[in-house]
Amino acid sequence: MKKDCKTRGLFVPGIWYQMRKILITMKLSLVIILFSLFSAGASVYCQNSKLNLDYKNVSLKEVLGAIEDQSEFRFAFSSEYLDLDRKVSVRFENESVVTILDNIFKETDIRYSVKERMIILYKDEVVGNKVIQQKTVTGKVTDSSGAPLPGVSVVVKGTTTGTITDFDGNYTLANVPGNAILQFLFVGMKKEEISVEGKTVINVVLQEETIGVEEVVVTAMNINRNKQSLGYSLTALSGEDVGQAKETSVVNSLKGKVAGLSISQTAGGVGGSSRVILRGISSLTSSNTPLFVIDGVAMGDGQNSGGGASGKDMGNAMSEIDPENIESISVLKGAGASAAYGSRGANGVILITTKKGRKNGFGITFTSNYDMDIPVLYTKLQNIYGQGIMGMYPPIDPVTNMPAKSNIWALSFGPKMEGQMLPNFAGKETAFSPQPNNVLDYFRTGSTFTNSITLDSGNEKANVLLGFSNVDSKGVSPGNELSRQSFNMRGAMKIGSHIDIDSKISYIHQKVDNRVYMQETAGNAMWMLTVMPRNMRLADLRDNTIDANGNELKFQDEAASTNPYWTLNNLKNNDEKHHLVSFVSAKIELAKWLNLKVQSGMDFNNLKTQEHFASGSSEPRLNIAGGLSNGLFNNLEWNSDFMFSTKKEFSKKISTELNFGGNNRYVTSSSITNSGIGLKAPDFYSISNVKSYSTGTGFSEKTVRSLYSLGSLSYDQWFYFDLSLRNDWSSALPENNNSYFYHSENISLLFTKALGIKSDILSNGRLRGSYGKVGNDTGPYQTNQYYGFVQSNYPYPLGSVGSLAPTDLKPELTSSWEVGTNLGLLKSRVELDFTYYNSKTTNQIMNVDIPNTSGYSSRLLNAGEVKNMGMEMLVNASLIQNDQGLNWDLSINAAKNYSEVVSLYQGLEKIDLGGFFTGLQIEARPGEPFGVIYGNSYLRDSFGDRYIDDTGFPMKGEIKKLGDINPDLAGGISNKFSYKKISFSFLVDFQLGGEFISGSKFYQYTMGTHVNTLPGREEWYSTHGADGTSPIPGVQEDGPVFTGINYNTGETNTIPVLPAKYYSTPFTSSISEDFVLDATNVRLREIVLSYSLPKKIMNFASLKSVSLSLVGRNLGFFYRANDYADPESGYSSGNIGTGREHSPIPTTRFIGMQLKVEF
Amino acid sequence: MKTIILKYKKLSVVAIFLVVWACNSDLVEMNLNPNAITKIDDKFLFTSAVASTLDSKSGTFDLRMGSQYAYIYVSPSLGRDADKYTDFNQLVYNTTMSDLYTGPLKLINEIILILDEKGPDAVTNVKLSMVNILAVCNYIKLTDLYGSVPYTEGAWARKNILYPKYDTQEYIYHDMMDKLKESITVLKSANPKDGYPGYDPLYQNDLTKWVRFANSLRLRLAMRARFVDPNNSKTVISECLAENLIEENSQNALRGFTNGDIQELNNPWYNLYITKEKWKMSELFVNQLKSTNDPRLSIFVKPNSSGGYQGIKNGLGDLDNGNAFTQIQYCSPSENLYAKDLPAYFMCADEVYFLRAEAALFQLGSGDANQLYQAGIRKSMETWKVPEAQISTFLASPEAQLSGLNEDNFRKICTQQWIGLVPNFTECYSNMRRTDYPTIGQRTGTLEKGVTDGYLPKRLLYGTDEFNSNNANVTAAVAEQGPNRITTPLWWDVK
Repeated sequence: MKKDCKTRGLFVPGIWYQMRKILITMKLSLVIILFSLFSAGASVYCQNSKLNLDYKNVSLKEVLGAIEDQSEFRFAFSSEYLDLDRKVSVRFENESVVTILDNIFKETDIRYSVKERMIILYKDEVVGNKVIQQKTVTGKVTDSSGAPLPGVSVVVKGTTTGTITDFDGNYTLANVPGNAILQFLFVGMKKEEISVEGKTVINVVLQEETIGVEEVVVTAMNINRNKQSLGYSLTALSGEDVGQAKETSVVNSLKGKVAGLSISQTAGGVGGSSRVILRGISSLTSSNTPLFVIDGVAMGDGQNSGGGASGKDMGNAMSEIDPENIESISVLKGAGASAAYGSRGANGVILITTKKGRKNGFGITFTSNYDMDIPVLYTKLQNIYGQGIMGMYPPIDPVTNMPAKSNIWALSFGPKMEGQMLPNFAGKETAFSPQPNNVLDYFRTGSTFTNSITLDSGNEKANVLLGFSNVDSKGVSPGNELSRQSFNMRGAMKIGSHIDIDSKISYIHQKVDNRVYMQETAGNAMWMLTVMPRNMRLADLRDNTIDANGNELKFQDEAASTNPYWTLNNLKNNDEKHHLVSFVSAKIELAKWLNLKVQSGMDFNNLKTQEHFASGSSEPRLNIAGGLSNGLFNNLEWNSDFMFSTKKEFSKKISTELNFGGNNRYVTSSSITNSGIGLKAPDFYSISNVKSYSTGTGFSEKTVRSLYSLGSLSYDQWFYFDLSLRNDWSSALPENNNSYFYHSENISLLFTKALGIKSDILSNGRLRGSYGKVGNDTGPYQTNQYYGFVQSNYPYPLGSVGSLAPTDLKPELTSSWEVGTNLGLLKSRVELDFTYYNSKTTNQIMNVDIPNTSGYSSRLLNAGEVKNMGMEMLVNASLIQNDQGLNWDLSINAAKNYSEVVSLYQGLEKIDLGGFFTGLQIEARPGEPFGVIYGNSYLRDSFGDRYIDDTGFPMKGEIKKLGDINPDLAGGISNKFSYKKISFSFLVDFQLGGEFISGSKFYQYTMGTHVNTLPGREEWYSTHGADGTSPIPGVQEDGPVFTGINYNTGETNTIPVLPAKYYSTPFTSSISEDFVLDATNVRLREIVLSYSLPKKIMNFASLKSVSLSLVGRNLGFFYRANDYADPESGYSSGNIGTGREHSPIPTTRFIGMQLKVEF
Repeated sequence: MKTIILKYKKLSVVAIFLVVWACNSDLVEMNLNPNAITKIDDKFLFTSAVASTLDSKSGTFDLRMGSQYAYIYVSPSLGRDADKYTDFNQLVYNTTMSDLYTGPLKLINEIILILDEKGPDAVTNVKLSMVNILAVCNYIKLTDLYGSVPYTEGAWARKNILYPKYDTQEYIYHDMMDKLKESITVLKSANPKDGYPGYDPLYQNDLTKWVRFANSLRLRLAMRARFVDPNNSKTVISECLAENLIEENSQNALRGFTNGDIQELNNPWYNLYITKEKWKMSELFVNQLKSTNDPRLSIFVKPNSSGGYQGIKNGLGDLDNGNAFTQIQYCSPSENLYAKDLPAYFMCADEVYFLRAEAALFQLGSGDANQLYQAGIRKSMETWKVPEAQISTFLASPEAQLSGLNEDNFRKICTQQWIGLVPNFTECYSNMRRTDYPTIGQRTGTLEKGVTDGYLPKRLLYGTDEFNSNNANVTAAVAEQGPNRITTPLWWDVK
């Protein structure tokens, strides 16, 4: 059997295998979409379709069946009044259905009405012996503000007769019995019932449902639920909420809008990723990103690398979702909400519902956005002292006329910049003057131009939506560009009266050029710009990139340094991605009480990456000989589901719903990579042109099968109980442990209703509670001991041993509970929501560090326990709501999460999560929150004063805790004002507490470029001789003095030290306390001003609506606790993403315009 | 009939779905990695183990730390941790240890596991003997840098020893000497077919050379322990001298590199030097060669623009050092010391002759100390292709004569051994610690004294990795050996 496995793996070419699977889904959904397109377009079907019938003495049932067979007509009737067994004889050739029906039903009391392809057969109502007068009713449905409501269902109560309103809210309903009652139904509005007696025109104003009372939200498995019935916390946002102030990545628009959801972008430029974390970190070493589910289809993790070691941020899949296409977003927090999604729901689920075609008519929406990204520098550089040390400019090499280039001379501790003529790094005489803009001027104003058009059309049987959008984005970093096209087709149709089909294909094509290099990599221009001498002219760097030998010309010898313009011109990368998301689903009514939903959806992406650099750089990571690396990656996630659901009302008060389903998840990926160094012919970047090269291929697959059951019980609309049970079987776990069961229970109690409280102060109140447990597996191929061979040019085969196989791996478990309340106050104008949660992840599957002396650096095993507890608070208030149309809505959310690493593994003291080379480490330590920063402290006495040695320098203390990357409190405050057609909103978000490691400060201090390295310099130079070191006789020495007390004497230290040493001491002595900064900040996240054109103008131009918005994002800080960086500009979107910052490209201020036109 | 068709349709959808759901191949089978294998022949691991053992000689530690501790080079960087005798270079402390345990030693133990499974026979014994010699090569470096290290339990995670205990240097030395003796006995009478024909990058399965190498290593161990453990050393030395030793440069244990375009086959120091820091020569080294008219001076050192030779003092403060690097009179190493095809030396004939000269000088073995001393110098010069005339001239100079007092002769042997070992910098450093020649003494004047108060560091620190993950064992080792400082001398470092 084992042999079989191997050959199977080798003989199934990964890409073909995946493509075949995709093609199957693609074909299916294409057929459905074409079909629905066709059917939606034919509205005069009734007149055009001609039928042939020839039957003698057969039952009516058979004739109707024949009509259905020959046409697309479907009959609706009740057997209570229609005698299906009545024998009839018919003979028609090429007749319209109208003629046929007239003939069949003449002299009966059966009447018919044709609605598109639906033929309703009904009985003339007879009261006594008199036929009740039938009439036609017309009218208009509007909302409370007078705006017409299209799509409202108007139904004759107790029948199937009905229609829906058109775009102007108008309806016409014929053949309404004179004593009928009309029902007006619309999602989000209160149901209205009006008797038609004595009326032929009925205009209705539907009232909106009060906030929170019967809000319908999308929950797990795409089940629409009344929000009141949920036992867990769920935040729902509309497409408007994220579409208006949109960024190129939709997730970034969620910032500050959802309590407990933390989002931060890396400094990766356009196309970069975002770190998304719900309710804190629970898994120590694996991903903590919530699961993204789009229209019920789980998104694959894709090929994402959030920055880090590779130095560039390849973006993550969720950044590609087209914001224009979003109908609504539900954020499900906690295990109770997400148990239905299995393993990957453990970190919460973000459900995105995309737009569907409208139910009636045809529409076009056009949106156009233009945004500018203005770079802003959040560090302050000094403009007084230029290149050199000890107040001296570097010695000049007599041969080249260049200043000395060893890195000691590349500091900005030289003489004052006063315009004196000195040879620059290229050996040319230039004025030695400050260059205050030599960082920002390297960058440019970025821009994003987004255009999208959506066409949709439909009737009650089928609808279709076609969308296309194009994004062209230029990042602030020169050469960083993104272009993205999204195509979207969504089609739904009804087959007969029992089957509903829905399908979608989205194709996203994205090209990114020159992703930004981050942190300590050769391509990070920002690093060089902020450490280079303050007199360095950008033009000089730009015009002098190559020396006489054709190699890179730099301002200093230090290997890791570069000329940023050399790397800009010679280090390039680009990538192209094809991303396909598709699904097809069918909802089948098997019986009146039983529905089946089947769905299959795929998320496939293909990524091609290229990177190359020219020869001539002495940067060791680039290699002097030039080189390149290419990659081709395929990832597929294929989910297939079925779900039976049934509802039963036991009495007027008790009703239940039960779902039983299964899921099969198949994930596979394959890759081909190659890289080489040493270009044979210059500037030709092909793997055939390199002297030494290496290649790699990879393939992996994994399957998780699940069966689950979701049940809910409601009592009298005030008590709700949900139960979900699930069992997973994962291929990634050992055979004996690969099945795991988990469950969740939720309770919601509307106590105001239960207790009969009717008060204007407490309009409604709800308590909820939830408990859930979620299991998790791991990646494929971890359970066996493997061997391989090292790819090598060495003339012998080199065998290798794979990672140490685990012995008895068990599934990981997260259990959590939460309690919360939701209160509607003051006639529901104020909504308060509060949640307390507590979660615990045990048996974490992780690579635990074991001593390297064991031969292996880590072993995969179950270890560690992490607890998270926290509170989330939400206040929504309608502060002003008046008849003149002035509204003021306020929304405040805040969340506090406290995490605790309860235990690691055996005697393991800590896990290093990521470090910085001054000895600072972000760690997980038992008893501490996840992500504490440890490093060398100053040696201090019991009063906290620093000990200073006899030479005037501080002494190194022990390694201790210097910070914590987790904020104490985070949230947002948004205000929205609207007056008639104008609305204005702004969002302020805040983070209080939390620390990060600043690489920027570290370098800007050591190199003397930061403004805070000025104090003490003037004093020192004025009391020391021309050599910058020896005191002037008879003059009291002055200069920067370390505050503290002398270690030996206990006296206050008064010894001034050389400024360059003062500011670089933390570097040279590896005391890292000063580089841990407070991340507290309060920022103006978003301002939106929008205006809709008045109706009159619109009618004139025959448009449905036109709106214009002005948007500003990330406009500035009200408060920022540090002087060195935007605390949100970490270089990785991993678990400790925000904890480390190192010379990020400037954060941008975003200003945009949006025009939205609906035809 | 319509309804039947409808029903059929519904059923077929369900059926199709259930088929899709149920038809996935077996879960366990799916989890077998198609990119790797679950069984391997030990010969492929042997090649890897030999290659990585030899490669460890051209690692960055030997170049960046070893070369400065041995007073051959001076580094220009701000973070000249080695030269400044600081002790916070955790990266070096951690990786020097982990590179060997997770590299060659892991492979060696995997081979032993495979051989153990096959059971003891003639073939297994020969292979085990070769593998044991290889293990000693790695443990010499480890124990000479750190002192106590995990040895009996080292790199045995595959035997479920995740937290290996430390063994004392004394134990390790004795055990290594025993293991080498066993290996020599087996290999002397072994049929080469039973070794690794076709898979031995070191000696191409020439078992006689393996015996010479093992015996020479054993001599190095015994000589290194001779001050602290004179009796045992004496016995071992006499045993070694009775067996074949490395006598010719053709028997040297080295990893060859090529002067081609494929970077992987170049000596990694070439790339490190041309792209990374540009080391300069140490004053002590240059002056030694200059003062004795050593013909290797121009081979090791690139003359300055005026044709002169001047080195930089080791251990200058940042400012002085920075200044020195801007001044052109200080010399860089010659390209010979970072050539693409510079071999990585493990053990060479000259070292063996110097060890024998020392043994003869102190009556630990037979032979004429002076002849052996001169043979060592000759072998070293031949390695660097010094013309015969220059060799003869130098051998006639006072430096090449052991004519003085014993201590002065000893100093000469050690000094020549120091020069001869270049570029095996770590061995240079170990020998300096053992013999105190060349004498460094305490740094004086304006030079920074570092954490050693100006004395040459005695060892590397146990890194933070071990304290984090193997705390109990490393703490026990520290308790036994002495504080985890770079000033704590090793077991054999008693002189």
